[in-house]
Amino acid sequence: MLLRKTALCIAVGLMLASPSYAATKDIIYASESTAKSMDPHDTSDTYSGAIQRAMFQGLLGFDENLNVIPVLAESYTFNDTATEFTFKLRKGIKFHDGAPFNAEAVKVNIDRMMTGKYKRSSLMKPVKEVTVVDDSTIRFTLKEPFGAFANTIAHPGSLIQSPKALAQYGDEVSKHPVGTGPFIFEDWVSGDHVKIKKNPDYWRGQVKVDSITFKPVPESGARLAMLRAGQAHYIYPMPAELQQVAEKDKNIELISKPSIIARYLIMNTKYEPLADQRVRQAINYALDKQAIIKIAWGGAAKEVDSIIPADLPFYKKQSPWPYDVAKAKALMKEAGYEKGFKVTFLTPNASNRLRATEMAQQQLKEIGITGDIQSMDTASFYNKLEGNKVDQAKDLPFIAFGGWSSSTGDADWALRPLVATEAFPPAMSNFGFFSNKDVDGYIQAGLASADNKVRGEAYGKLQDAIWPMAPWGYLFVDTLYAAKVKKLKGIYPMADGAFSVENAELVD
Amino acid sequence: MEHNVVSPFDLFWHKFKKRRTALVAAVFIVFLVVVAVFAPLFAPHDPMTTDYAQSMQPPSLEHPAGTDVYGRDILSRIIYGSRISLAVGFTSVLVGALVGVTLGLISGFFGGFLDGLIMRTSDVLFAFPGILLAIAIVAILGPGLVNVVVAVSVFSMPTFARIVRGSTLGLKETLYVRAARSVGASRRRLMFVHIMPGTLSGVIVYFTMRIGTSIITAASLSFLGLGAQPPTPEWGAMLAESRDYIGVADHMTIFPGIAIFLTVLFFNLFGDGLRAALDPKLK
Repeated sequence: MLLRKTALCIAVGLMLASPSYAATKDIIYASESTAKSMDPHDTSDTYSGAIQRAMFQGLLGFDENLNVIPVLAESYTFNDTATEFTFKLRKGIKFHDGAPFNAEAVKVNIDRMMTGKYKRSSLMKPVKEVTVVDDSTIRFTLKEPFGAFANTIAHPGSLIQSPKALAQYGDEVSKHPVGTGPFIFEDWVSGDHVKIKKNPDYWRGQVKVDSITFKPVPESGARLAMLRAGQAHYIYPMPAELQQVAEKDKNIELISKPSIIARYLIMNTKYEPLADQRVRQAINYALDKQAIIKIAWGGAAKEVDSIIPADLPFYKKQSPWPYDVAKAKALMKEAGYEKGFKVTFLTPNASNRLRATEMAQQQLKEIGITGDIQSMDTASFYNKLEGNKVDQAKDLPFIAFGGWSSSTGDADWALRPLVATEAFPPAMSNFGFFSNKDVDGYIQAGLASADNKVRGEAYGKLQDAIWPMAPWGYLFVDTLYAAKVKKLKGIYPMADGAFSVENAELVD
Repeated sequence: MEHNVVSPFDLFWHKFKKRRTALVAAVFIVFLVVVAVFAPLFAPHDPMTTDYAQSMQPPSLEHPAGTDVYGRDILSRIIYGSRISLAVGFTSVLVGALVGVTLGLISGFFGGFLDGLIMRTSDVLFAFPGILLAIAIVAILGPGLVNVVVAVSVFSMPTFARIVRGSTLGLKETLYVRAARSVGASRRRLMFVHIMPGTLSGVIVYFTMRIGTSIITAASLSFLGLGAQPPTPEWGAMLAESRDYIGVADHMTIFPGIAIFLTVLFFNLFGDGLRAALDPKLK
């Protein structure tokens, strides 16, 4: 009897004492956004792009601080006029489906983008042709000099897909991503999660975790609760308003970092009242930016002082729009809208965006601009904006809460897709249909030169010119705020709101 | 000369007042209705006025229930919110009851094909959990309070129809109805004058209970962003707006939560009391 009891005690003790060697290393990444597509060439949101980065790689990429670094290319050279870029490719790399990575594979990808059919086709607009020099050398010939072309190649839209998968699935690759990256696609349940698993044959050596599951959790409180309960290992964004709660938790580590994510109110400039520059200026005076930052964003942001964020190259500081309701009212009167008008406020339903929109609604009411809020999930929100057509735009009285990060880390990509005439949806993301000849001219001038001095001058002039035109209700630039469990290492946020998971590991 | 006749109301009151909880509930409901009707008199502040400097203040003398994230007075918003909750609760059940009672009468009185059609349709609606059906209807009609009323009405209808059909089946065979029929009363007269009053006690009980359910459904839809849109001071929407601050400013969720809880509880207790008083089978 005694013996049996002792044996039982020992058995229980052993069970309790033995470390769980068999535990798989599965990481859950909870984010406010929902994945929209797994086709890098046809993706315009940062979140989907960031997930794709774990499976796909480009010729070039970015390090933590958005410096361009070689990835699938070993090195690259360009001629003096910056019209020819030659990339030397790494050898011996295979896609997840076994297809070899070589110059031909790159050409298939670039040719696909150059058809103009995809959301990121515009990245390849400067390209005249792409030539296979030999199996591991590829050359891009540009129409005009373009100094920031390396940034374009490093952009997540230029990730390289398996030519075999492209041939097999066609545009259905958006559901069957096959790349060369450290992770292999496992499954994607639309609206629920994307799961990726370790690539055992990764050319840089296996990653240290077995899988990563990306879960959309739009509600910020729920996201933090998941992290605290161990149901998530990393959350982004960390809700700034709950900082006190997170700081008290010993297992949690907070990460904060300045970003290049701009937030602004998109105004449909084709809708009659908003077509008037004075009305748009009035809106900028009527917005209490500091209050919105403090209340809607939990303080995790900085007021913008140019149309592009301060951490982008060629940024030129402007004088901020003061919060001045009297001035705003005077401008409304001058424009003939003393009595105001009605709009619809559109916003993604993530709670901080909803709050910011609600505050904008409260503040604009002061100058007579009234209307209901329509909130929807991020994917529906962008689908709605992308579906608007310019010829029907004058009948769409909307103000929408917009955000953008220049994923090329260059000024061009923070401007051209948002305010150029060529960027009207569905081509790019000029959802407010803003159009101005001078602005288009400066954008072209900045695009056409390789000389940073010339480019800087063009973008400087552009920023001076567009600031008072008020295409948007200028708001603020995010301070990145993420949180993770302490034992998770190696995941870090990037300044554009994306993230890198290649070096993720769980340590005890 | 005094007739010692006990009126039905006296009988009802005699039974009803024995249930203390139901009495308390009745008093609370009357109080709530008064507050809702005279909201501007009761509310200490304007429910819409924002004051960012007063963001998320805990309860104080100035703001007995504290302020929300935009610095609005929560008590005032709850008081104004009672208008919306009561109006939505009452209207949606009323519409559901009017349609449901009529359908139930038709179904029970005529029987046959109409009966089959109405009851099978009801069965289909019964197959959905209430809130799911409401979400589906709002998803089709679009968000907004009016659509919430429609949604809640639709899912109240089948129950009313079924209750009334049951009573109608029994009542149409009673002696007095057969007598009325034999002297040539029209079908409409039979249905609405002779049969319907007999079904009403069941309807009233269910009506009261249903208001509680409707209030919580409407609040749930608003919580999900499908009902009242900001800045409307609706209880469910208030909960939704404050949920990000649980752990930091709990008063923002607690007070609207209490308002929903008490209102629904008291409507249910009141309904319970009514059932006890009106149901001849319960002693």
